[in-house]
Amino acid sequence: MNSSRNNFKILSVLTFVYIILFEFILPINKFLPKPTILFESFLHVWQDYSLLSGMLITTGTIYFAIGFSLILLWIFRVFIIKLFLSFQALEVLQLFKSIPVFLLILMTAFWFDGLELAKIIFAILITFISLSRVLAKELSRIKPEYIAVGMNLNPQKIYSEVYWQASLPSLLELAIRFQRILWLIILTYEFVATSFGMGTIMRLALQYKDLGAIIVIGIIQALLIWLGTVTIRFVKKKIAFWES
Amino acid sequence: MKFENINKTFTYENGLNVKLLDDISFEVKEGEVTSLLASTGSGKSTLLKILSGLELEDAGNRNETKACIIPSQPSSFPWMNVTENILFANDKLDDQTQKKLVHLVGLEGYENHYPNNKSLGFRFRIAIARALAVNPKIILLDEPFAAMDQKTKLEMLQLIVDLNKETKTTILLATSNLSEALLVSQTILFMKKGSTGNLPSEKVEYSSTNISDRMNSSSYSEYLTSSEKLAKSFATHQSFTISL
Repeated sequence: MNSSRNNFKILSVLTFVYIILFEFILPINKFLPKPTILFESFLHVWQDYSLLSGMLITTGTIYFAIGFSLILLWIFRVFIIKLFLSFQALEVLQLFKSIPVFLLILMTAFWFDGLELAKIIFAILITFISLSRVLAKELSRIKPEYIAVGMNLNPQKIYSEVYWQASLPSLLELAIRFQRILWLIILTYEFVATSFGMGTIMRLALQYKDLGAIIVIGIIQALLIWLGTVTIRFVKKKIAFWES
Repeated sequence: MKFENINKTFTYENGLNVKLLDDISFEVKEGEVTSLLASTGSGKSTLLKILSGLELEDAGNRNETKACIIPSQPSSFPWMNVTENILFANDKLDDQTQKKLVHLVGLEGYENHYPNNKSLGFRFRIAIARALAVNPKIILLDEPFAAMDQKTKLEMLQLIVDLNKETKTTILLATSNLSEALLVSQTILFMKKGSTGNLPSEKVEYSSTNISDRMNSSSYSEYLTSSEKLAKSFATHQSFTISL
């Protein structure tokens, strides 16, 4: 609570300094627009750049990819856990870490010519692999004593009721951290390859040298990421309230 | 229950072979609490894992007994409440048995509570109830009190004595604390790093089943004096403790 109060205080001071500095002392400069221009941009971006549809496309892609990947993992949890326990899954999945994401973005964009569906599938794949890596890591951490009581039970019950549940808090914790990375990935994808979404809008704003719009869209993105974090935290608190 | 000629050799990554258990034999009397007193690193956890089937011995007869192990960090599932934890081990338990188990471990009124963020004592009670639910021939306790405070430790020792009295369940407690062993068990087995052959043992008997009474009795002081000498000859490390 104290930290959010401090953050609020810092943000208020910075806003105040920005208003005084750029509205009254340095109204004409190359770094930041006047607060009044920024306020006007807030009203105009929705129409000038069709921000609402762009926002829905980008946000939808990101959170659909996270949700869908988690659901996929949950549906096939028994099969995936069994598979991961049968070989060194973590080592194989770690290989993906060394592939540059920017290269993957460009290659996907090249192969599918900026197709929206390709972007969604790309987002799901990259999220699914990251979540799988965490699942494999968690599975390697579970001690046999933890399931000692279930030794005579059906393995499927142990996979779905012990291994999966024990990994769930870490999976959701990753979802919170990963959504910020996914935002960056999808914005980059849209920036370089597609004609829809917030990344595309930012590219247009950059082409028009509309600094006000760029900053406004950035602020809206920060708010959306914050909202996403709060939502996933809420879900985690409800369905995975225990420590991993 | 006789366990004979148990051997276990560990091979390290550098190829070094270390014989941890060398032809160890011992007997645990059915319906009694037996303590396996040994200092840290002498192989008592490995021995318990072998007895429970979690680890394979190189050679010997572990008697294929239906054993249930409770590790030093009691392994109750934090996503299941008390009842669900018990039923996980045996979902065929009828209501009456289930209630009896909850009563035995002193968790009446806590059936719907989750072990998450609860004390070690609470989790130990669940682990005991869950172990009893599978109706094992022997319950193996691997230093379960090491991380508990004095008050909780005494409560748990009392719980074991009461359980043994009521259910006649055979319990083997591995500990490095002489007082724990003296207060709770009818027989103490002494083991050290490199022990071989039959483990030496000592009988303990009290007139009272109350742990506090036992602690204040003259028998306890006598046992402590006589066992201390024997125990110390078996202590290879500083980690061996006498008082609670």
